[in-house]
Amino acid sequence: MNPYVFFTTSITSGLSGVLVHYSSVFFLGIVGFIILALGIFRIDKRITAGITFAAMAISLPVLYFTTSGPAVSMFGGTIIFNDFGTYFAMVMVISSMFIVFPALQKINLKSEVFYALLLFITVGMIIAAFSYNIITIFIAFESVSIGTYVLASFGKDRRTLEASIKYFFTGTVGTAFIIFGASFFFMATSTFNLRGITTVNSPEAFLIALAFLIIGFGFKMALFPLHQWALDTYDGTENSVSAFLSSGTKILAFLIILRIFLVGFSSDLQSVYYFFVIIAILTMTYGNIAALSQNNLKRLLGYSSIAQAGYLILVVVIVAYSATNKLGSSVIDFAIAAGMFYSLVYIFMKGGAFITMNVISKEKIELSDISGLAKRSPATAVSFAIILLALAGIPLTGGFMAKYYLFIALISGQLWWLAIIAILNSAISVFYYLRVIQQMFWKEPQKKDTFNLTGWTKSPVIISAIIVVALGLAYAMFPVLISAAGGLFG
Amino acid sequence: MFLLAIFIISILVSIGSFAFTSRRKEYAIISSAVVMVLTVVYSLLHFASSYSGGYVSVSNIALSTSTGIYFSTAVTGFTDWLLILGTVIIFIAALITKDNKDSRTMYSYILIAGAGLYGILISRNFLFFYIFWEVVLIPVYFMIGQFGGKNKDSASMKFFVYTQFGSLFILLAILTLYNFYSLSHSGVLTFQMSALLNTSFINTIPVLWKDFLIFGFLFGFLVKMPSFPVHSWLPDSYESAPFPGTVILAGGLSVMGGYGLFGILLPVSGIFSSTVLYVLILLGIISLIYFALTAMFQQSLKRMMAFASAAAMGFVTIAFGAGILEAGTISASAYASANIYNYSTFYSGILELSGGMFQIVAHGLIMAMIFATLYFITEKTGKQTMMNLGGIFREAPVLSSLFLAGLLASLGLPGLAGFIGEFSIFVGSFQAISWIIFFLIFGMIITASYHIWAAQKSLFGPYNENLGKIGDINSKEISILMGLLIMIFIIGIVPNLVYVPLVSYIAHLGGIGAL
Amino acid sequence: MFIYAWLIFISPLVGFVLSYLVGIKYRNWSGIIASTSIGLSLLFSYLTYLQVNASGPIHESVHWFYSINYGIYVDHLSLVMVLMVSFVGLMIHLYAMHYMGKDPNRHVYFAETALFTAGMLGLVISSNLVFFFLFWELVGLCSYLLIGFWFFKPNAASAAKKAFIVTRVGDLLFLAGMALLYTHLIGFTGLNGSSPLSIPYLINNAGLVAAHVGKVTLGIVSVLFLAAAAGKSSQFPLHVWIPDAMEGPTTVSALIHAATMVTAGIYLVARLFQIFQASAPFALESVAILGAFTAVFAGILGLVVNDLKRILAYSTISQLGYMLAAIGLGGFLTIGYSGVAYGMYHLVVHAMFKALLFMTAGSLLLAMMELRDVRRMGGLWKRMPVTVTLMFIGAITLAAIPPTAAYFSKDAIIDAAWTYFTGSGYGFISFLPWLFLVTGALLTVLYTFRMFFLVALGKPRSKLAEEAKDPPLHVQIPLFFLAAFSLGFGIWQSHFYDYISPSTPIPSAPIYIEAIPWAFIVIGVVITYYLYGTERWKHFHFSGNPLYKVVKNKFYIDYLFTNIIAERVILPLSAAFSTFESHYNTSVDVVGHDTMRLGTFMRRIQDGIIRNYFVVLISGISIIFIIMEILRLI
Repeated sequence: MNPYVFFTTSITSGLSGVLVHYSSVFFLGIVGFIILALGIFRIDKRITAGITFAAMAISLPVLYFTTSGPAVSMFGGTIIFNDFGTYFAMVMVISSMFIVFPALQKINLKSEVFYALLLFITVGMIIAAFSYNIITIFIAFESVSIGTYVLASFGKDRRTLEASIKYFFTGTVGTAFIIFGASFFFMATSTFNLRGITTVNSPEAFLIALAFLIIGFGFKMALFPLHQWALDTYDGTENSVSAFLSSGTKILAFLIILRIFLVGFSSDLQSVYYFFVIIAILTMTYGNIAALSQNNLKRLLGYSSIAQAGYLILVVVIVAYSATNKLGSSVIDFAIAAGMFYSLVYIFMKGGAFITMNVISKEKIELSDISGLAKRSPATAVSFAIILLALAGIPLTGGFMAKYYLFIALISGQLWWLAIIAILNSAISVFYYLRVIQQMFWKEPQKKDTFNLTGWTKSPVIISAIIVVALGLAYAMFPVLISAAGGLFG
Repeated sequence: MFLLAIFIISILVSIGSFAFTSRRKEYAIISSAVVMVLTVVYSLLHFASSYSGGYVSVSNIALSTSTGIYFSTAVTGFTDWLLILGTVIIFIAALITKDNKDSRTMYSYILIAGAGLYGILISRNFLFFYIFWEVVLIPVYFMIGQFGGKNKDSASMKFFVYTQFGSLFILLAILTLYNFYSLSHSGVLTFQMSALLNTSFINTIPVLWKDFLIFGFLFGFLVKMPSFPVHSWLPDSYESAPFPGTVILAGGLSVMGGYGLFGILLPVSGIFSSTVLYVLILLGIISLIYFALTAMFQQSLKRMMAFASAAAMGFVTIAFGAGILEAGTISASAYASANIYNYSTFYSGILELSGGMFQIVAHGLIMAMIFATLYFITEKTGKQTMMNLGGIFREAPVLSSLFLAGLLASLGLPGLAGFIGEFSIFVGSFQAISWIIFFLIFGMIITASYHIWAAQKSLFGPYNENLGKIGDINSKEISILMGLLIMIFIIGIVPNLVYVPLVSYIAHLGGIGAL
Repeated sequence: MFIYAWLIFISPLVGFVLSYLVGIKYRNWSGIIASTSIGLSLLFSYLTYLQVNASGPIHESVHWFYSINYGIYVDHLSLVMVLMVSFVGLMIHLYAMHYMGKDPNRHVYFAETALFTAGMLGLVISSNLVFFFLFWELVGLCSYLLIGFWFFKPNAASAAKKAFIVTRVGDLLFLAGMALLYTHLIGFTGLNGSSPLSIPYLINNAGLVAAHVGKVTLGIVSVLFLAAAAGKSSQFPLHVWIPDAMEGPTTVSALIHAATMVTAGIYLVARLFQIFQASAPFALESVAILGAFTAVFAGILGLVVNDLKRILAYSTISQLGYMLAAIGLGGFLTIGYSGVAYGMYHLVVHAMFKALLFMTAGSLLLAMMELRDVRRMGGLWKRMPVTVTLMFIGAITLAAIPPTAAYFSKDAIIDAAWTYFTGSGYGFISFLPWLFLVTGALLTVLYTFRMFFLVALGKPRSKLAEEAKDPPLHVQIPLFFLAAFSLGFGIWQSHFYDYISPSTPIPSAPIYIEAIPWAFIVIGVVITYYLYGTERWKHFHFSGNPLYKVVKNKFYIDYLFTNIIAERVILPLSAAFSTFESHYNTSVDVVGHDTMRLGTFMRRIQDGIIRNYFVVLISGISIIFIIMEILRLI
């Protein structure tokens, strides 16, 4: 059909639907502008935070009711609304909701900017969650990234600034790679759409696109060897911001990696498998081993989040492998569902861990700073211990169930050797989590302890611990995810 | 339902213990006693008279049918005795906790460990089996790390990481079973032991993965036993753990290992190649001799007894290997049809198999007794190395006599529980291993030697005046130890109390074609 | 009909509990209670005796666990033992009430001796080898406890340890024998329902068992049982523990290490004689040879020790050798089960006079303040006439001087040995028992009278010896009983034999053979009197003599066990193992530390300078590319 007709029909049929399906997006965006406007009147930051939180809370059911259900494709498959996307969009919203109140304490000047940015980032995330077109994905993702550059710079001291600068530089390099990759992708397939790639003109270009895109999104997800900015950034920025960077944006990157490499490169999953199996092993192992003797607590958490990214990436490996070896869709769905479950638990595990740093009113947090927390506030200590054990994958926590499903996926994907490597890794990882627990529980507090134990700092930790345990007992949830998992492919 | 009720009670009391800020010792003692008594009552109801093998009080609670996650429970005559043993051990552990203001959390740890142990033993679903398997580790880890003796940090860390390492292999083995089950049963996902533990099904698994899962299970269980060469967590943990922790380590963890062998793997004993069984027997014998010789050289009584406990568990491994090796020659139908007590026509492996299970129970009680006595000795004298003790019989005759009794039980003196198990294994496994039995004799001689050596060095001889004036134990403490001793004695004199359920359990296994 | 046999060992058990519990408050009652309980079991033994005479052997068996029963089996053999044990036990208990009268812990003592007696009686009448083993270990335990009764004496503690471990070796061989027997019998239809280790089954179906198990295998079983017996009855080479065991109270030595427990081994062989007989001939041959050899061996050792109780200990070992040899002689068919009769007769007689000797020694040692060196005594006959007279009776009985009971019992054995030699075709092996036994007779006379003369005659050689006094007469009443038995029991020789095995011939030998022991007696007495009846022995110095040195060091067997096997083999072995263990243990930590160091090293690339980050990035990515390309190629 001629381009004009295509254009008009798609617009007319699109917009009406978009207005419905993107209602939550528009809603959050508008609220963001309102908050900016309110900033003029110097209203209390608590109110701002409250509004933000409320808006996000409202947007959750809105998202669910407007976007879930049977798949709806728009703009010729550029955007597809289905349960899979909905799930991840909601996870993103939750991850931003998670830091609204914890951030409150440290964000003193220009709080409205902070929260407005948070809302805009969320909007970007939601858009990205439904995009099946490299360009849309790129734009949405960049809006998120740029927002996070600014978030990272919130705070007073120079370390924050340095961290955000590093983040910015490496981030832009990543962006550059993504653009290159996208153009090579177009060169190879003569389309930006991830789905329905009929012909690959030049496999070489296709391969280079693969490589560049992996580098680009590897940056965002802080995979080895593209992880280095992450440690400095997590270490330097505000705790709540590092919580967000290490949970929300990471999950977003994970989602996009799933989509681009499993959907877009479905014709060459062989190389996807090779790329990611190497990267996954390196990332897991590097993160865990480097964390063993780390004494800076936030960096320790940073390394652990790198290792966790390695576990997450295993999903891509399983799917790519079982798709190339025709192991059937049940294995693939199971693997993707494992990834979905992992992402949700991960938000609370890792986010909660970083949020916990708020109880220490200190810029550079050493392992010894947390010693004796159990004496000061047992509840906090126990909750943090639960979160750490969840990260280590000890039963009765969501962390265990997440790893458990992941290992099942690995083994039903017949990647025993990889499962053993992953198991060994989690066995190693127990060590450094226990180091923290030992510090908390049976080391005497320092002479002048730097704890800042208020309801604001304690409650998020306890809440996230409770959620982590609850997720560990939500056995009925997984089958739902399996049914939604197919939506990855639109 | 009764069983579930007891289990839920034990969970509730362990959680509730956090609520108590004061008088937590009484709380812990009473609640553990309640659980113990209930368990005994339960056993009397189901196992005293009318038990003819198999699983009783089976219950399935579906949590997620599509992924095969049920909370299903059942017990056999064997697990029932382990339950009784476990509750007794928890009770003793609560009794011998030193009561001061920061030992409050200790009681919670003890109760949680008890609940976890209970969960392991009654779970018939691999997911929950594994979950409780891990749950037991955490409180023990906290006990060692928080109340432990010297180098408690490294000891607790080592304990956790090492045993966790073993457990993860169990997990892998479970997942392998799970996956192959779904492959061979057109995508049916289940964690039910009743489905997965099926000899004919496991034998259809490709040989590499089958060996892998056998290795995974055995590795995980032998770490808990512990057996040579995967015992490195043992000495440090036992020594630096507080005494309740040590009791739980010696009683509880060996129960876990033993249950793994006889409760999980015995029903599918058909999957073992004779090579594996010979390797197991070899490991058992090595453990016996190696730990005995190592124990002989120890100065600290606690460390010595740690090795002694490991050596005693060597018998269990031998029994497992030898029993299956012998039983393997008899077809399942023979088991199904034969009157198992007509030993003039039918015998195969029953003596050592039931002896092995008996040994687990006896060992648990005896070790509880020994470490409880050691606790009191350490309390009175502040010493636990032989050179620092000596001649304390003069000052504390009752305590010393009880310690001596414990030692004699541990070296397998007839009339006490230790003998029946060792006798059954020793005599029974001759069929399978013939003259290799002389290595056992060597090990047992060494065992006797260092037990008696310990008694002579620490209890007899001239009194070590540096200890000053030490009192004897009071009537309450005596009653604790006497209770244990009487149990050990009764089981040693009336072994059928334990033996009959075990034999019926094995007979039933034969019936369902496991052996 | 009511079976009294159960009560035989139950009443001392009750006595054990009561005498301890009562004794905690009222020390003096414990002895009375213990003695009463044993007196009762003597009564019950007598009632059982009547029952058995009335209606054959008593056998009661109850299911114990899987294929093992427990129960009682009382026939003539066990009855003899039961009566002997309860009688001698009673005597010794009565005497002990005086001997231990001052000890602060005497309630413990009496409780333990009562427990021991219970164990011994139970052992004798138990009907299943496992049940038998239970009591076997129980008496071993009591012996351990009672040797170490004076725990504060380091010697006592270590002696107790030695006794326990050495006997334990024998016990485990016993277990091995049981295992072998069980393994071959289980599943044998000929069992028809009885436990494979039930004693009556074994001895009544010995032929069947032998046919099923095979003579050689059964022979190995028998040899393992013999090893157990050697451990308990301290036969060569496991004899090392008895002399040290003399550290215990003398009444304990009398009860356990002379009269009763040490005979348990002999009883085991006698009990299972049919099995020994049915198996390959080497079984009973080894019994005979071992016994006879030990008889001489211990006799030689007895010559050179100066400790009063140790002399008696060695004589005990030697006499036990006689009994064992007697049973072993049964391997020759015309002797057969009569061998058991000869052995048991000597056993009973020996129990009497050895208990007597030990208790007189006890009186002496009370007077001598536990100073046990015979060279420091002397001239005691004047000072302690009653005691030493009793000891004299014991001594002549031990030396088998006519017409004491031991003369009948021992000469019978020696003559039986001669029959064995002549009957089985004058082979050298079959000659050895007689040779050993008859030499043993000479040695017996020598060490007995050496001891006796040193004690009784000459001048007091120490302050204590001069002031020694007899104990009050009434406490010695039990000794009179025993003395009477030692003198007069010979009358019942043939009755006894027939009671054990019907129509037992009293063995005889040509007169020139019979004469040899008599000659030995004369020679022995003369020599010992010449040397030790006077002070002449002081002028003889053997110490230079290498042969004497060897004997003095007990043929280096203790040295072999203690210094070579225990200290040079086992201890280094355990040292090596525990060293390995500690290294193996730390190796795990080392792995951990190395991994941590690796982590520290890996973090080097994290230096905070973006420039270098890009270097890492580029290199890392290109490496991944290369790996991937390689993977694609292969």
